[in-house]
Amino acid sequence: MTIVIGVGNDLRRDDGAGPAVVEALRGRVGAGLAVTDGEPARLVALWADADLAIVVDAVRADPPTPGRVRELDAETAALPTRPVTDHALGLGDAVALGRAVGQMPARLRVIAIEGDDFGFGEGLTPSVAAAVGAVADRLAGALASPGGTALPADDRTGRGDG
Amino acid sequence: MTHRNERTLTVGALARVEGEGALYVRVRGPDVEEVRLDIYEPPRFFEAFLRGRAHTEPPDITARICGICPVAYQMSACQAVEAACGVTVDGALGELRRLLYCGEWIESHALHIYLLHAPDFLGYPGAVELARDHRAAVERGLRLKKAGNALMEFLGGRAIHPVNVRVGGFYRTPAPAELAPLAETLREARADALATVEWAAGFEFPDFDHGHEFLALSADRYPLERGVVRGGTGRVFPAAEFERHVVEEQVPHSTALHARFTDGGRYLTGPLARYSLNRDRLSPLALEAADRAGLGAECRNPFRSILVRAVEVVYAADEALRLIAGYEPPARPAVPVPPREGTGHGVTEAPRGLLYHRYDLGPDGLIRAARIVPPTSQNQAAIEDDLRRFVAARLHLDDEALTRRCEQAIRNYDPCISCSTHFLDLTVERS
Repeated sequence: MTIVIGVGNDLRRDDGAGPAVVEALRGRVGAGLAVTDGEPARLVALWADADLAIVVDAVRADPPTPGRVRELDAETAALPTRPVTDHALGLGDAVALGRAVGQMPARLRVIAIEGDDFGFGEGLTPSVAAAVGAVADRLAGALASPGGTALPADDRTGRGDG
Repeated sequence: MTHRNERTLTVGALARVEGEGALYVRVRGPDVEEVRLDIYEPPRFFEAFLRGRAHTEPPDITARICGICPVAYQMSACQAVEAACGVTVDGALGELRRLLYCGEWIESHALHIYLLHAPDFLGYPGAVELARDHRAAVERGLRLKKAGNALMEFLGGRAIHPVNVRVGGFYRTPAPAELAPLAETLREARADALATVEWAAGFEFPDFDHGHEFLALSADRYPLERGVVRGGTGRVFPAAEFERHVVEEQVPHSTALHARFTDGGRYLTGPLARYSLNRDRLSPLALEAADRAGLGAECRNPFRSILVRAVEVVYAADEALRLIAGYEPPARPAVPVPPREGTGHGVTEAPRGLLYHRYDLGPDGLIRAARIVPPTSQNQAAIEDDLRRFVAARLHLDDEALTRRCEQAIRNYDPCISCSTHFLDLTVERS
């Protein structure tokens, strides 16, 4: 089972990038889709039984390059343990918690989309919206076939521009 | 560090779901001169942008105030709007609302007990470290939380900010057969909840009592989604009189408001108040768990609130099972709530305490004014007072230990700051 989890709040501008990717995937993939707020127990519950979990989240960078996409391998990347916006704990805490209780997916991939505006309100910065579309297209391609879990080889680790 | 004449503990900005805050403690010699817990309250924004909205919108809009207790916001909002429109929602629809609220209690309390508060008692910096040594316990906590989630998702449409609640009832109500799998989950949750009480009863609790009046709802059942407001000294009043008994005031150090009784007294709302004023309304199973845990007729030690929460999870699971067993589908998913000019008030019991809403509607059904008084605002003065006395009795501790204790003491109240367990970054200033 594959699940794509969009983390974020669509009422906090670019923090809604993760949920927007999930919305863009509806009807296009054979994978499970979920949107959540990043609270670790919820994340752990969502991904515990998955063969592959793909978490899409917005991140803040300094200096910002809104719309830049980074792909992280949860096994090797230093994931944030503090929230970028309003998530109670960071994704790193969710991974640590999942590991501590043996509730991790077989594979966990993290797609981080750099945001710019994390203020109140709806709508994504144009460059972030473009990145959302690109990420969704790429995931749709990779996950299109039922049970298809392969991602393009060049996405497997490290960083790549979206 | 008692040789120092003056100590200032300043705790920086806190990243939280519901806002930002800080803790500031100033000590001179043997005296605690000042304790300030600053919490910034997003509900103030909501009051403003509810103005001009339709009377049907508050349940969806105010649910967004909190990712942990959205049902509380929806229930208080519905109750207030319906009161303004002269409509009462009861019977099967009322019971479904109570069932949904049980889900929120289970989820919120499980999160607080296992991931936020228990690490304090067992000497761990956070839930992850706790899980490494106490895996079975944390797994139980996650299972419990998931059960609450499942109930929220089922009735609310989704676990965060449910979308199935509307003024007058629900958009869709379930068929009885759909509830069967949920009942199975809840039976397991009830067993986990009983184990949670037993587990928490083994913790060591600092000796500390608060001296505030309790304030909680009171009804023929353990208070959740309705009731009259009752104080520990005999005051009883309906939701509509809330603002005649409680005032909020600006304090210089905070953008948050402090609530107090109009006659001047501070009060405490939340699990301790609910339990102490309504213990006899618990289900036999929950009451038995409370007895076994050593909770007496009332509980005034905020550190024991973790035990009371655990008992309330037993109650919520038990009550949810009772509601499912007795469920008769309502004739229609919602009753009509035609707008009319007027004012309505709603009070329900969020997991962390009383949540009051008031809406003034115009003849067109649009909201002219909204007022939302969350539990954290109501408890803030009591928390500060408790911290003041708590710190005064522990001045022999070094700054690090004292800060850790203050963090734990703040978590006793489960303020609506869904914070990490490292939420206080301490700076010490000496002079």
